[in-house]
Amino acid sequence: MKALKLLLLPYLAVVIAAAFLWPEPAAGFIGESSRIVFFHVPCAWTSTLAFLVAAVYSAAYLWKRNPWYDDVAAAAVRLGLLFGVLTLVTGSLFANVMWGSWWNWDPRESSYLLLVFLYAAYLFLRAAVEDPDRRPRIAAAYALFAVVLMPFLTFVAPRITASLHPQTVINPQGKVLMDTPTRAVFFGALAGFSGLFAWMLSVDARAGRLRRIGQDILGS
Amino acid sequence: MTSLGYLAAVNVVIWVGLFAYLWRLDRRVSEKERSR
Amino acid sequence: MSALAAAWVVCAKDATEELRRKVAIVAVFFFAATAVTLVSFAMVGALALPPADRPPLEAALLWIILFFAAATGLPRAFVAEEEAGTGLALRKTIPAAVVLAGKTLFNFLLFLAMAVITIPGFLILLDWKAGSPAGVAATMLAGGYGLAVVSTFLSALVARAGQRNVLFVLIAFPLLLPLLQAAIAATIEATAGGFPATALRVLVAYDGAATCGAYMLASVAWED
Repeated sequence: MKALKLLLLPYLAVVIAAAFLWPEPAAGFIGESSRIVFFHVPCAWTSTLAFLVAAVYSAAYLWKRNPWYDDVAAAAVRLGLLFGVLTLVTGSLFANVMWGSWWNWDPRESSYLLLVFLYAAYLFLRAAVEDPDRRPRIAAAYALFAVVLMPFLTFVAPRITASLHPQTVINPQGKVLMDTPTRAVFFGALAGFSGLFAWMLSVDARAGRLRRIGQDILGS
Repeated sequence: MTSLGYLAAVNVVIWVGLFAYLWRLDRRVSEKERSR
Repeated sequence: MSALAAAWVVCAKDATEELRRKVAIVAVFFFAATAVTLVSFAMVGALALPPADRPPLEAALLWIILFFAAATGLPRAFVAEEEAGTGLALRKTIPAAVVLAGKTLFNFLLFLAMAVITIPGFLILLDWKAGSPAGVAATMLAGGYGLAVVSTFLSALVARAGQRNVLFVLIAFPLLLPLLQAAIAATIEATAGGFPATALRVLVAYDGAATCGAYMLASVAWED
C-alpha cells in the first residue's frame, strides 16, 4: 500500500506532463483549451464516485451500525464537495475561454452545481446535529433520501429546463471520438485521480475516526 | 517563460505540494492510530 | 386500528391543534399574502411586458413564494412535537411511518390552504390568466404533495437539531429543486393554455420516489 502511495506522484507527474505534451489539441476548441478535459472530467468523475461511496457506506452504517462506515461516508462527502467545486471551477474557466461567459446553464453544469449544494447541505446537517449518537443516523437518512431523488436531480429535471433556457453549444465532453494519445492520457488521468481519491478518503476517514474516538473519551 | 512552461511550473508546485501534504497527514494519522 | 386510520388520526390531531392555536396557519397565510403583495408591487413595471412573455416569470415567482412559505410553515410538523414535549410519547406509541404519513397529510392540506391564498392573489394583483385551470389545479396537487412529503421527512431530520430554520432551507433546496423545476414548467404550460402532461408525469414520478424513500427511511429519521 505504501509503495502504491509513493508511486502516485511520479505516475501523476507523467500523466500531467503527457496532458500538455503528447496529444494534439482537439479540433473545434480554442487554442489549447481542450486539454482541460484531462482535469475537468476526472474531477467530475471523482466527485460522482465520492457520492456513490457515501451512499453505499451510509446504507452500510444503517445496516451494521458500525461507526467506521459513518466516518467513511462523511469523509467521502467532504471529498465530493472538494472535487465538485474543482469540477465547477475548471468547467467555468473552460466555458469562459470557449464561449466568453462563465456560466451557460448547460444541464450537466447545473446538475453539478446542485450536487455541490447537496454535499454542503449534508455537511451542514451533520454539524447541526449535536448528539453524536443521532448524527450518523440523521446524516445517513438524508444521504439515502437524496439517493432516491438523485435520478430527478441529474437526469430528468435538466431535460425539462433545457427547453426553457437557450440552447447551449453541445458539451464538448459528450461524444468526442478520442485518438490514441488523448484516450491514453484521459484514462490515465482518470485512474490517477481515482487513486488520489482513494488515498485522500483513507486519510480523511481515519482522521475522522480519531476525532470521534477522542471525543468519546473526552465526553465520558 | 513560455505559457506552457508557466503552466508546467504551476502544476509542479501544486501537485508536489499536495502530495507532500497528504503524505504528512497520512504519517500523523498513522502515528496517532498506533499510539491509541 | 389500521395504519391508514392511524395516520388519519395523527393528521386530525395536528389539524385540531392547529385550528385551536393557529400558529402555523396564520404564519403561512401571512407569509403568502405578504409575498404575493411584495411581488406584485415589485412587478408593476413588468406588467407592461407583452402577455406572451410573462408566464415564465409568473410561474417562477409563484413557486418561489410557495417554496419559502412551505419552508416557513411545514417544518413545524415535528418541531412542534419536540417543543410541546410530546415527541417521546409519540415515538413510543405510534410507528414512525404512520406518524410520517399523518403529518404529510396535514402538511399537504396546509399547502393547499397556501395555494388558496396565493393563486387568487396572483389572479387579481398580477392579472395572471390561468389558461388551463385543470392544468394549474393538477400541478398544484402534484407539486404540493411532493413538497409536503419531502418537507415533512426533512422536518423529522431537523426536529432535534440546531439552527433549524436555515438548516431546513439548506437541506431542502437541493432535493426540492427538481420538483420546483418541473412544477414551474408545468405552470408555464398551463398558463399558456395547454395541459402539461409531460411535466405532470415527472411530478408524479418524483412524488412516487419521494414517498417510497420517506416510507423506507421513516423509522431512521424518527427513531430515538
